[in-house]
Amino acid sequence: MAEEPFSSFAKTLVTLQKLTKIESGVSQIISSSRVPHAETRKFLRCERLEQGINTPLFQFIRKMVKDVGLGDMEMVEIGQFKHVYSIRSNPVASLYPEVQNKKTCYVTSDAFSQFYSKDMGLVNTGEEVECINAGDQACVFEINLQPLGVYQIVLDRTDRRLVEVLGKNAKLDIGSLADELLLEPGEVEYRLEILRRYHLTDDDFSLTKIGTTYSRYGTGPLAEKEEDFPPPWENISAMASSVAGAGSFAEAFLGAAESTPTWEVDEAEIINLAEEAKKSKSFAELLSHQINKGDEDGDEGGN
Amino acid sequence: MKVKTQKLDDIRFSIQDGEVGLSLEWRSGELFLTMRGVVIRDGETWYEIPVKDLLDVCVLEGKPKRISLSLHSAKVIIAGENAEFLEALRHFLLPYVEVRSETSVMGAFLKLWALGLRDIDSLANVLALGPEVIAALIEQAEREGLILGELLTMMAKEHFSEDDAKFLLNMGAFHG
Repeated sequence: MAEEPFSSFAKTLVTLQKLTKIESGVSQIISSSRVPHAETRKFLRCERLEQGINTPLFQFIRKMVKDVGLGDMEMVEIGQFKHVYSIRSNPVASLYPEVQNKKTCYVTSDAFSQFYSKDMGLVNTGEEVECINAGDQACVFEINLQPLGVYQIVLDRTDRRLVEVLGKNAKLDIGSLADELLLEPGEVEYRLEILRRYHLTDDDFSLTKIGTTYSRYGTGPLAEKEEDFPPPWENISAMASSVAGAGSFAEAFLGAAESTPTWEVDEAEIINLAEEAKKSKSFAELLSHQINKGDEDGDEGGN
Repeated sequence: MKVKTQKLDDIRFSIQDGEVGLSLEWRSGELFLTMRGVVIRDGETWYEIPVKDLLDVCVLEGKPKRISLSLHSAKVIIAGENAEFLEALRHFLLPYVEVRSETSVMGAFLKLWALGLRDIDSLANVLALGPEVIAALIEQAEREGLILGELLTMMAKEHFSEDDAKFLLNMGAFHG
């Protein structure tokens, strides 16, 4: 890597300003967009892309991603434990013109990951797997969902009852299951198909080992208590204005930095921590010396 | 030779030595940008963190927001009132970090193991991984002493969140 990776203060400050603006918007959205499990469940249960992109939750994610300045996203894959998004014309990638052959869009993968974990209740790892700055056609983000979290949400109370019934009576036919659960046979078939897709039953709808484990824990300690509240898209206009407000705060914050004059410091006066840390004895001496100066005290990170 | 700097924000910071265990406890300072990375001014002393030597930049939980900049054998922790700016700084620096550890699936695997799902095919299905990857995970978990028979060892705890660890402890998933 070059000794001077940043090309100019002005460009770097603009990048930091844009990133701070995005962070403020993301933080506003995450703090006010809890999604009811019922809506997350509809999204999770989609088997095909066209079903997924027609859910209100997906439409909401796409709008919010665009509003905070992360770009125009598409969903390119929907799996039981993996959702994949792509952004072709990515404004975040264009913030790093000096970075080549590397992935750069951590702010976007973190935003997806935080939304899935904090607002949808799905533990996950979000990662950029392809990036325009690494020479790819588009920036592609994979959200890998932790299966236990998915199992806690994807099945509703009726599905869980169905798992319980299957656990007790291995070979019931659809009609008997419908009678037992007071459902139409078509609905039983639909629910059985979901259980099969999530590997809780095999092709003849008897419980697999996963299904047996789920019937043991999934209806007890792993079952989430579901709260009912309105989805965040019912108040979308208020959210859009709070995102805009967060953006102006970020602009003001780094705008002030931009107007601050630069300082010139003698290189000899600067302690290079990376170099010092490599010489462990002198680094310890340096720290010890600074500690002994003892010109300040304070609590952890507090002011 | 002169180094040009541009002030970014007032911060609190702490420097930790990874080898001897000494640490310069929380001080007030100012964060500056240079063309090589960032510099912290502490009165008359200037500490430089060159971007090319960064090993990782991560967020630490708690308030106020803190980010940790890892160098070989040293860590600089920066706290500030403007949480969004610190996050932005982290996301700005990350692409310049040469090596970044990828997220492991070990935690998810260990949790399923503790819940009684131990055959390779079921684990492969649930974790959406190939059977050979699952076999390697089992071997690694055994080699690193994370699992012992059907139970987890206390060493596996670091792979879980506090809540998950408590849940698994309550269901008797750990040895001892």
